[in-house]
Amino acid sequence: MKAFQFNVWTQALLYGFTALVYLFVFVPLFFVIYASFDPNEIMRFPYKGFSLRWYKEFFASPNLYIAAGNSFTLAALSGVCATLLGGLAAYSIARLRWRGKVALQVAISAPMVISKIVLGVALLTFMVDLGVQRGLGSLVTLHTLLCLPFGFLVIWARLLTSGRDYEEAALTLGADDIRTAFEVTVPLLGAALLGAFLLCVTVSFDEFSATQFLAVPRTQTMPIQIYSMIQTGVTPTVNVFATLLTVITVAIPLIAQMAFGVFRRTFVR
Amino acid sequence: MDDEHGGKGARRGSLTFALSLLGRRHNLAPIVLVAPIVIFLLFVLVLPIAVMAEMSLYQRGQAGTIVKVMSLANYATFLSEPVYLKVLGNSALIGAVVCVVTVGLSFIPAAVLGLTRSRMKNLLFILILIPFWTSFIVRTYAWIVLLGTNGVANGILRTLGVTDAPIAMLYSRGAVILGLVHAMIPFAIVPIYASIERIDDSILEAAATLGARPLSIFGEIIVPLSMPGIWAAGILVFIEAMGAFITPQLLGSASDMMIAQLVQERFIGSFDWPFGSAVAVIYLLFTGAAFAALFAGRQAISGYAR
Repeated sequence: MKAFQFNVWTQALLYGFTALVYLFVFVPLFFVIYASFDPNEIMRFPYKGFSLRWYKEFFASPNLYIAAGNSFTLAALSGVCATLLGGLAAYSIARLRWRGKVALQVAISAPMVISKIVLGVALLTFMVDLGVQRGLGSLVTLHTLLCLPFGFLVIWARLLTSGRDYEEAALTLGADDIRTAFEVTVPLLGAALLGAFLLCVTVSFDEFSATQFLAVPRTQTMPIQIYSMIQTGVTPTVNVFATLLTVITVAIPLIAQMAFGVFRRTFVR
Repeated sequence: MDDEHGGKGARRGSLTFALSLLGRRHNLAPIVLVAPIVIFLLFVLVLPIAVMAEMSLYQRGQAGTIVKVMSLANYATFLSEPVYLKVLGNSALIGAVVCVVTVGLSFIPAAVLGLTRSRMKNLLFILILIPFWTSFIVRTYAWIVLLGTNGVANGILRTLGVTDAPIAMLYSRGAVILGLVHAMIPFAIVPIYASIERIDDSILEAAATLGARPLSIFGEIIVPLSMPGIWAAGILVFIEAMGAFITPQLLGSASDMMIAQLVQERFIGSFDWPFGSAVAVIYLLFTGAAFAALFAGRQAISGYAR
């Protein structure tokens, strides 16, 4: 099929406008990265010089390692939980026959549209009501809830588009459902499971709004730390922090996208 | 796309076959698989919201205690005080402005992404996914670097000799709107792109062959056919922008509060959990209503488009 094309002038106009919007999206981030190499005490544009001074200072702060450790632990644990729970839900909805699928799907997707602030205060109120202490466990619970829709969507999208023929073959050849699920469905999901996990990791890694209600000093995360740094007054190390956060949160899924191409299929159903 | 629709009937047949096998063996009862997630959602989503709604009926007592006498007093206070209604109004207004501007700016990039068949497409697509993964706080903070007193914008103006004293651009409603539009553009591009990509090229070819100008191809074919995507983007952006917390907190002025900030302030700042809960419930109902209204509109429009 021959692709439709506008005339040259229209194309130029459309591409020009698109380039401007993309610039608008990316230029601010570029300046943060640029500013992180400015050696001066007081950030003042135009920046003069290039140094790793603030990187050295930043990496010397012990709080960073506590927050980074918490963030990675939290992201890994809630990523695993959300992938498992989301995967179970996706399998039940895509493959099994039972009533209430739609209700479950709505409930799973709800954390994506409900304000994170509301989810945070609701869970806080409930925990205080039950007398549960705030700690890593409560943060993992909260983040599992927030990651769940993403884990579910990635796996569900893959289940809808692939694998049934192989499952039927296994069933016809006499494997039971459990064996089929573990030896056919799960291996076929491979990349999608990894993609779901990594997407959950980036969601958890970035979460601030709901987390602030359940985090205590012992369990503070990187977003909470950078947020309080920004609020108490912008110092040059914030730029370094921001640059590193950008690199971490972009690198993880970008590598996954390059390697497996999992996200495109999810977002474009 | 076509393949998927064509295969649907066949797949459904094989699915019933698989399910009939399943039913015979009773190995994987759905309830066993569904139970964990239902229990999880009950304890982490449903019950917390219910308990928060209960909290909203109580009153704050002396020294952080809670007086457990039920009344609608918090709701009455919210709805009778202009200060609180203004917070709700501000949030809805900012949400609406951000929604219109974002969808307006996102439409052409989405169309380029949806119509192009060139190799640029993958690159453009991955680029637009990157902001999804970039830390939201960092993306907001970037505007402090750009718009601050010693920031990039003022630096450029100073160097060019346009201004002597720095212009105050941060901590204003304009900065909040700018920050939100910037954050929301990728969220708007993806659904619009998805619906433009579904448009059959031959319709556009036909229009062009019959002499339609680019503007009328856009106005009379692409825009009407991508309305479901435009609505989806609009709903998403309106709800996200209206409930924004980080952006107004970092870029806005303290006197110009949005609703999520009010909830947070009542919980963390003034420890008035009952009133904070009432605001959260009102906000939930408001988002629910907005969602329902916009969704109904989308249904009506997609019915018309098909």
